[in-house]
Amino acid sequence: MRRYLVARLVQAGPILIGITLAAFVVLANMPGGPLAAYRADPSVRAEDLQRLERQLGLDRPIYVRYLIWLGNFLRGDWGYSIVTQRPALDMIGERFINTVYLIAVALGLTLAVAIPVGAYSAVRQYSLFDYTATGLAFMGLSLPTFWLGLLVILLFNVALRWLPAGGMFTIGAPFSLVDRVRYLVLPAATLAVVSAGFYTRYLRAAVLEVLGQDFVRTARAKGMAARRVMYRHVLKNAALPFVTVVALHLPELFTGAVVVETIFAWPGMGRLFWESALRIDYPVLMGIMTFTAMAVLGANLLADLLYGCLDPRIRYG
Amino acid sequence: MVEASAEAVEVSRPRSASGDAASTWKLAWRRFRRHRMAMAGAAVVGLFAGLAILAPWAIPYAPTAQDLERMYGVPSLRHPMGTDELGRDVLTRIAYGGRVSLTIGVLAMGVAIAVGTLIGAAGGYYGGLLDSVLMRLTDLMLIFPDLILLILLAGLFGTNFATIVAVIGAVRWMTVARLVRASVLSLKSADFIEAARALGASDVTVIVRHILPNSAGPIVVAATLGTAGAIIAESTLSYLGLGVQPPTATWGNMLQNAQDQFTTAPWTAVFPGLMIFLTVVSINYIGDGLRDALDPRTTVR
Repeated sequence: MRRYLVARLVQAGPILIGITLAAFVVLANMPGGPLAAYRADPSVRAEDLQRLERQLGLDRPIYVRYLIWLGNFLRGDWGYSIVTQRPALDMIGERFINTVYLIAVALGLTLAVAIPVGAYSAVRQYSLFDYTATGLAFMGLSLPTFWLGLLVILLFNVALRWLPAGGMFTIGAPFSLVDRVRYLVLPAATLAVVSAGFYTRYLRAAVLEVLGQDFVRTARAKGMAARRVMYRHVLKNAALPFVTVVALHLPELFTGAVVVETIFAWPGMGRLFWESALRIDYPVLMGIMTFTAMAVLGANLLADLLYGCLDPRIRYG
Repeated sequence: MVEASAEAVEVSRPRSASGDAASTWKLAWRRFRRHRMAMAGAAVVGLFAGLAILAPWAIPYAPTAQDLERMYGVPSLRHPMGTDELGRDVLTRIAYGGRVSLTIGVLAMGVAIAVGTLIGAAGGYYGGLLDSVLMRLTDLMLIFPDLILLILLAGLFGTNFATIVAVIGAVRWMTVARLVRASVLSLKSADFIEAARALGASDVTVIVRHILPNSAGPIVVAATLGTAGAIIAESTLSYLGLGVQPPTATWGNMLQNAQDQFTTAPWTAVFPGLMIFLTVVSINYIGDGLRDALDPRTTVR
């Protein structure tokens, strides 16, 4: 087990270098170069530009620049935002917490809906419930997140005036849990809808597959109560592939978070990435790219480890 | 040598491509017709595509024609979907926006199929180190959040039509690559492939004429579902301000534009989004129907 973990972590090194190198080369070769923002500004003189280039080391070959970036990155120096002049690591760190908060609640909501609905749908296959649930799941999958976000704002904020349309808390008010929750409901629910469709369909298929297995028939034949068969045998086995799918789907949730954070003015990492892309703030872009890559590889590893814990047939040597 | 390969193509034609292919596709069409939601989806997509294609002839307004006396017009007989902040007819812009959004969706998927086929075929056919490297790349791209790459590439390389097509295609080829690779692997040691090779057919001929036609089914399904994904990707980019720029209308940038006024003029946001949603649902149902039609072994999955 430990050897497997070490091997996987060692493998992750070259992959991360590959990703960051690719991102670095793309950013370095964009039209106008990393100083495009200054170049477009007529008040910046040519000699100032040259001085900046020397200062930032942009006159050196790209592999040297990459190695310098990598060295600094590993030491925790992720560069400074060209917009706010603040350390990129700090900016990303504070936004990251907010994104985790949003994604965790959305994932909780998703699973709370998808697991019972998906499982019941499979048990009552081709019933009215199943048709309704599968149909809704299919629609949920096809909903553009940003449109859904606008619709829920129209309904719950503009028409009903129940919930706030954007932000994380009432500015100026003292901390209160109720206030936090009120701001969280709409973005988290919006983010949950699309994934809920995906997970429901997946769990339904997984449960159906287990239901067709011999050991389920055996359990029933020996007179085991239907409920007990469901919990002891079916759900337990269907959970195996499901756990992997949830872990592998995490990056997709982050994609959704980018859009949801933008609509609901949620100060998260996704919104920061979007803002940085509009302003071509490359130290921040580079930092978030690398961070995302690490998170993705981490989620992948987590999926494999969880699978190993849950399924005694799998041994990592 | 040239003669031999030409002959190989002739000899094998009845086996792989056209011989029983006609009846295979006919059978598939018969199965597809029985899938009610897929047929409904095809009708909706056909209608929207028709509206987009015929827009310049069928619609009395121009997409950028402003009517400052009729700003924020409530949906009415003259303007069934209302007007926006410049008095432009929303239905007209939706029809013209459909031209851009649907074209980008289809072209981007074309790029994705081309890239995916190339990578999958090369990896599966030549194997070895090339295959490992390409498949590692595929896995990596598959788990990386695609919107992050889309935002980065569109932000850096600009937001004109061709760039958007290329950028979306560049992040959506992985499913096709895997499918193509799997079918190349399963077929490359089949007898009829050996025969074609023995007759002197080149690698490209073998792959294009003999292997790919046999894996057309799954690729068609993946391409259909992928088009729906590409349309969502395009509209998301446009919504984030990184797609085709106004005044050219796309469904996504109409929504972005509506962002500032949708609380007072909700129709400017509801209708473009509804078009995206209906198109994507329809295409997904078509994909579902095609999957059932092209692969009779498909079960519930």
